[in-house]
Amino acid sequence: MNVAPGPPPFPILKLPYIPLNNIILNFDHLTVLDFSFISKRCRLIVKSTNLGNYDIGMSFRPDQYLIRFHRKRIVFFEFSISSLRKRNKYINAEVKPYLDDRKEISLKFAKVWVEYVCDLFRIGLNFLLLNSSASIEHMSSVAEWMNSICSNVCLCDISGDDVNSDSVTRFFEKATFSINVLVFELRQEYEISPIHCGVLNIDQVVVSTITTKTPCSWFTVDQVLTSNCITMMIGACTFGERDLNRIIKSWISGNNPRMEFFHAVVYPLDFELVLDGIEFEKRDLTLIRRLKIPFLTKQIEYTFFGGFDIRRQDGTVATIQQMGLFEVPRVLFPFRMGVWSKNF
Amino acid sequence: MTSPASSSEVKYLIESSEGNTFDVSGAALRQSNTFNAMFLNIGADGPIPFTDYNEATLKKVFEYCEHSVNEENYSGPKHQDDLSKWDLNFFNEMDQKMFIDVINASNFLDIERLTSYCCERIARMLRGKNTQEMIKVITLPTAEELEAKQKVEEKKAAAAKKVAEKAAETAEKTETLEELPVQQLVQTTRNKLTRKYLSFSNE
Repeated sequence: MNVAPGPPPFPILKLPYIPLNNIILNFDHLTVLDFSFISKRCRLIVKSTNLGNYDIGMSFRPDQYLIRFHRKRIVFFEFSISSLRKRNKYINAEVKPYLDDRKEISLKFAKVWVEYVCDLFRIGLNFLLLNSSASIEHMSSVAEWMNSICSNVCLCDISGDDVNSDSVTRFFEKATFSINVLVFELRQEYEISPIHCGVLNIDQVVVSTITTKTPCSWFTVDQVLTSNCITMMIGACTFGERDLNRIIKSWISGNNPRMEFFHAVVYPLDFELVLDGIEFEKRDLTLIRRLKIPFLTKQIEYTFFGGFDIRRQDGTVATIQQMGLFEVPRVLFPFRMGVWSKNF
Repeated sequence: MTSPASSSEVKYLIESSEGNTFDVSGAALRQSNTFNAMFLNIGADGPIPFTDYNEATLKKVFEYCEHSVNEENYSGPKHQDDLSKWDLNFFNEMDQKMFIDVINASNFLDIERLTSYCCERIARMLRGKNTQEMIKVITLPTAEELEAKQKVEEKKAAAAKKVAEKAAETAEKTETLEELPVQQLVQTTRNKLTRKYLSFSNE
């Protein structure tokens, strides 16, 4: 149905406050941004409007979307670099150039715009999407700036087709803010040196790999041992029996006390080696147990068929198992370790 | 005439700014949260005064309320594309002044559905427009115009300052010129008087 627009001009600023807020609620995000540039009063009106519960994410990925509005971690709206560049004239700050010498999004440009948008929509920066091939200087600057503006981010997602391990390591060396969920999606098809994330005191760590051709070798056992995570999901990786044996022994002796679920896709395992030096109880395949774990925005249920029960020093029981060994012919299979709650 | 009973047959008298009164059904009036808060439970003796709004505006607002009596309870804004033909005609036949008056009245009466549709309609008018285009629509001077205006005002102020300074200078000079003869006059008079006195005393 076509609706003829109302007759312009229309002095909407003379309307009472509630209808004005209602009008702004009906704007899309870019129109809200444009409206805020009209005057200080317009900016105040926008700031006083409850524009909904969003998380704001900042992205340094090459896809040219700097600011993203997420709701329940789903991208709802994005401000592209080009649309922000067109509006540079309205920002009373020096925002040129928008790219730095390495053709990365200039931090100066990002700072000005992220601060303006966060202030306008009255939301703190919650998501940080980084380009895994960024330079060391860029990563350092981003971490330092983030330290200065927030104490916690909900999601830190590092991804890319190319990876600069030193840059990513430097980012974690510099970052002092806490992260709830850390996601690595590194799609490089070549070997890279290990990435050191320091002590990962994070709720969820996800290391995603695209193919099993290049299993991840940069996320090391030492990194797992120095972590304190609730869930750790690692895609195709090079962990062997000795590595997993170290991880399990470390958990039994009290490391990683918050751990509820550990998942890694590995080559077929010899459980005699995995459980070497560990007391265990082999459970019959007919014993079916289900474990619900938080994974990003959802809850995922995993089923254990039998498996090996191990016990931590404080009495907490966990089950380990390699799944799907006989189901399909493939090279790598998921190894899972589920920790049962004490009431189980 | 009016009663607190919530039957749809009950009619209420509404008084407009002109002092005119007209009937509105209880069911239509109950869409106004303001009315609900003020009169629903206690009833109203005589006409209910909504004297900030003229008769035409109030009739238009209650025409909408009467029409939407049988619609389901309001559950959030509806997209303009989902509006009925009647709704569209209702909005299209209003001129801008009436539209603004209706929004104001609807806002005061707190008729959520009508306020929200009106606001959505205005938002639609501005959606997708850039800042300069919005400024034109909401009849605000552009940044350039503001700058030009400021320059003109600055020039005017500077000119006025110059004029004031000149006037002050002139006044100062005039004052000196005017004062001198008076002083001289006083002095002369004083001298004459002194001389006269002296001449008297000599005599």
